[in-house]
Amino acid sequence: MRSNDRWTLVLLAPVFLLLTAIIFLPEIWAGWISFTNYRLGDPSRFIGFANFEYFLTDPRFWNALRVNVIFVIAVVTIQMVVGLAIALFLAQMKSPLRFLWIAMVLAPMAVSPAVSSVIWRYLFDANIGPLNYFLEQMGFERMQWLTGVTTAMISVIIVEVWLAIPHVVLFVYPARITFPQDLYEAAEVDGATAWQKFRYITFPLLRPAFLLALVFRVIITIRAFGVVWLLTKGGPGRSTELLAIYMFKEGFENWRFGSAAAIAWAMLIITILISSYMIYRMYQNAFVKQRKDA
Amino acid sequence: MAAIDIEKVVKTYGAFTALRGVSLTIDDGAFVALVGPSGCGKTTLLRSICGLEDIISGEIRIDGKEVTDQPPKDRDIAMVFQSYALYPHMSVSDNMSFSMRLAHAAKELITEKVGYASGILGLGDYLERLPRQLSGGQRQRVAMGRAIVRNPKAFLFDEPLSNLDAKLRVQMRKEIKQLHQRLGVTSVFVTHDQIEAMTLADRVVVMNAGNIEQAGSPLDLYDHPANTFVAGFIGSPAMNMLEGNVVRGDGAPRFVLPDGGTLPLPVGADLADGAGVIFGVRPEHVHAAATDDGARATVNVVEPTGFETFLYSTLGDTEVCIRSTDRLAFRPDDEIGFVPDPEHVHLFDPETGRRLN
Amino acid sequence: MAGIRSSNSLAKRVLSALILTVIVIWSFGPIAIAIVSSFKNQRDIFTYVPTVVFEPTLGNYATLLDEWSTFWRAMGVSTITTLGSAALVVLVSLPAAYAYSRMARPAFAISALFLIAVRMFPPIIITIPLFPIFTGIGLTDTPLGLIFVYASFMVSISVLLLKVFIDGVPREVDEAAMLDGASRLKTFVHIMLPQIAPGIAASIIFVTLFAWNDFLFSFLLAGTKAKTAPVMIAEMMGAVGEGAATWGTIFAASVVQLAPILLFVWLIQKPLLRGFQSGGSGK
Repeated sequence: MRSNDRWTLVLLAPVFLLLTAIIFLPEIWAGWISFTNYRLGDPSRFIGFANFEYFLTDPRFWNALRVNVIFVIAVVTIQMVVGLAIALFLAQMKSPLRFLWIAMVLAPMAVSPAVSSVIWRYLFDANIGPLNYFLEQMGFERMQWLTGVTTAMISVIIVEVWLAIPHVVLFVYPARITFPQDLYEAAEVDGATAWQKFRYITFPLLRPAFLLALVFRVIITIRAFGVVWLLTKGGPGRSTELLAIYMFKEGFENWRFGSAAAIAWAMLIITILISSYMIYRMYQNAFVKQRKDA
Repeated sequence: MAAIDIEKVVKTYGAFTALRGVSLTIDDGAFVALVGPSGCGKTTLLRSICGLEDIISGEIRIDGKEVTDQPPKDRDIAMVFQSYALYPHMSVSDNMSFSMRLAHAAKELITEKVGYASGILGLGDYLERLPRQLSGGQRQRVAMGRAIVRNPKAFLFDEPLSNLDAKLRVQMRKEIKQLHQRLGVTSVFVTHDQIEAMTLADRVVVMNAGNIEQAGSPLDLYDHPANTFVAGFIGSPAMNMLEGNVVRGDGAPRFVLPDGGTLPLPVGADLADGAGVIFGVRPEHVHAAATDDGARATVNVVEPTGFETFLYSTLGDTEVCIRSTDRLAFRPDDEIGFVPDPEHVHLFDPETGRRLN
Repeated sequence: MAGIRSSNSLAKRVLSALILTVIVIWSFGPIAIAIVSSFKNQRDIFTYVPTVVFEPTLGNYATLLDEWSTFWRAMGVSTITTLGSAALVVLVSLPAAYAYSRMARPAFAISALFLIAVRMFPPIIITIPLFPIFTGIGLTDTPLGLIFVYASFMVSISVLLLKVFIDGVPREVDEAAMLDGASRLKTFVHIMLPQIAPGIAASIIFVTLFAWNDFLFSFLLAGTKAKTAPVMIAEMMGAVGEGAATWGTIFAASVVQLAPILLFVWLIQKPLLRGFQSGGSGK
């Protein structure tokens, strides 16, 4: 029994050493520097809650928070609805080419923020971009996609949604294809319409997967950085300055590590709060449930 | 081949005690069945023998050598699991030869042994198949083949037939018995099915709540159950058991039911007047009388099966069963006489459950 | 009746095809445009009216080869860091997953709460403390530093995933092997590993997607010498404004960076769809 425990420790050690060295300790240190006036290379001094006071009274923080909330709501809503629709559409397809279409749908998840910024910069380009060409062809006016205050926000939302939809599909589609077909046949016998089948069979059964996807996507969208940074750097003005971008600029443009660390900790606490229930559920599922029959 | 000695083995899981000081000797070459309700400790005992469970105290000896603290790999014991536990990524022949390959046995020897085992089991045509390409019965045979190839000190079987359908189960039962007759390897077979235990083993060990209730030959257990648990567990339908008292009047002592019905006691039963007693009799040792004989019972259900007829009736507040090769003509709600054959009556102490006669 | 039914189903099929077209154009159109444009010469890219018919050219790739050795070096760094982090992740998460699945008492399982919590950590917040620390100990601008960071963020999902796969191997199969004379280690190597290979592949996929495509850490922690391909592409993008790079070259670079990972995703599409990502995908 005891030697078993010793081996358990030995086998778990590498993972926890790595996590401790690269994530836990640095993050705890970040917690410390959020209470100091730390700047790279300078000696630091404890300054209490001054950093928190500083960013909480900084209008840029409130702007970033507002931008982030709008961004998360828009991106998550659109990706969940569209992703769900696409997953269900693919799941009901009987074509032998279905796997080809799924491959197309999943393709954006392979695209890095860097490459998607290249692609979408080109698509959005006011002068040579295909989007404006098609807008004109359809009788609309050209748009200043990435350079207008509102359109920039719309643009980054579009790109983020584009990147994220495959992830939603990957949550919903596998869940959907496990539903037994006879449920639908039974509903058809009972005279259900397509909408009723969705409303009373598909959606209730999908709910666990859908909710899991929703929480995940919220958590991941809150921290959005890469593609927005590459497309707009938070601009024009501060119209697309997300929390992560605000924090990044505080840290690496203004070199105010103390307040950047304070913002980082605030983001961490928000994320953990939102995901705590899911953390608990995942823990229960993976580590507690099947213990009972062991 | 080897004898297995188990001495005062105790095993606990947290607060739950699975084995409460079990002692058992399994002779070299014997076929022993461990039988009992689920949770009785039979599988734990089996797993302790092969070292898959660490025991808290006690001693296990194989072939006279103490193995209590040895890991399973050093005990040279083969086991056939309920789920077969075949290696899913290995072909039938690789499954069978895994132990030999681990031991770096010569190629020719491996081929020979696998050929021998697969010959006995009729698996010759399936050697290159993967387990998932086999039927349940074939998988079962591969699991046995894996054990045979090793030529181990003992075979352990953990409910190996419970995943098969009824017909296949009967067939495999026969094959396992033949295999044992042929190879003569010490075998321990765990099952919750008493028919399986009775038909397979030379010695049946009935377990309950971490204890051995009785060990003996199948017929010994059937004819002379040592206590009410064994009496109720062995035999199907179960033995009828009635609670009542002994009355010694002027003539022979009689068994009196709470409602006043009386039944004759077997001769030689030396019991005090008024003593409480459990009166047990197997369904086939009761005669259903249309007359006023015996105790009065009311028929509930009549089950004709062709060869035999089962008569389920209520006697006092106990459900009793009568089994007869006569085609009984009773109907539900008929009043009958419950007439046991005094030669075959088992008496038990109601406090301890121990046999009295 | 039959006529109504068939016209109904025809309308349905047309609608279905239309929906499919929109979905495919939305999902794959942008990627297709990048791939096609990488074979266009500068003139064809620069027309406002998109050219559909054009003479394909490998010129952009030739330019990339001739003038952008820095890009190829970045590709090399990307390869090293990706392979390195995948190897590190598998190496440290396999024993842990095994321990959680087969050995750990409930007291140890609690440590998994931390592991799952790490899964939720926004990577960007760790940049603040990590930057000065890495600078201090000389891990900045090295592939090794990136490997540690990528592996740290992916070990948790990898352990969870592998544990699920190991849980899927019946204990009796382990036990059968031990009775067959195998030690724990041999049981693991000969019996367990072949059966959990898909789980290992899945772990590698998640690490690869993360490490190969990461911009943030590479940009911040390895911006000069150990620059990875995404950072290089972002730099080239900046160079377009200054006329130092052409759209065609960037598209070619993008395709070179994207192609392997896209093929990879397509290759593992089936297992992905079986839903083993339930531990949660994404960055």
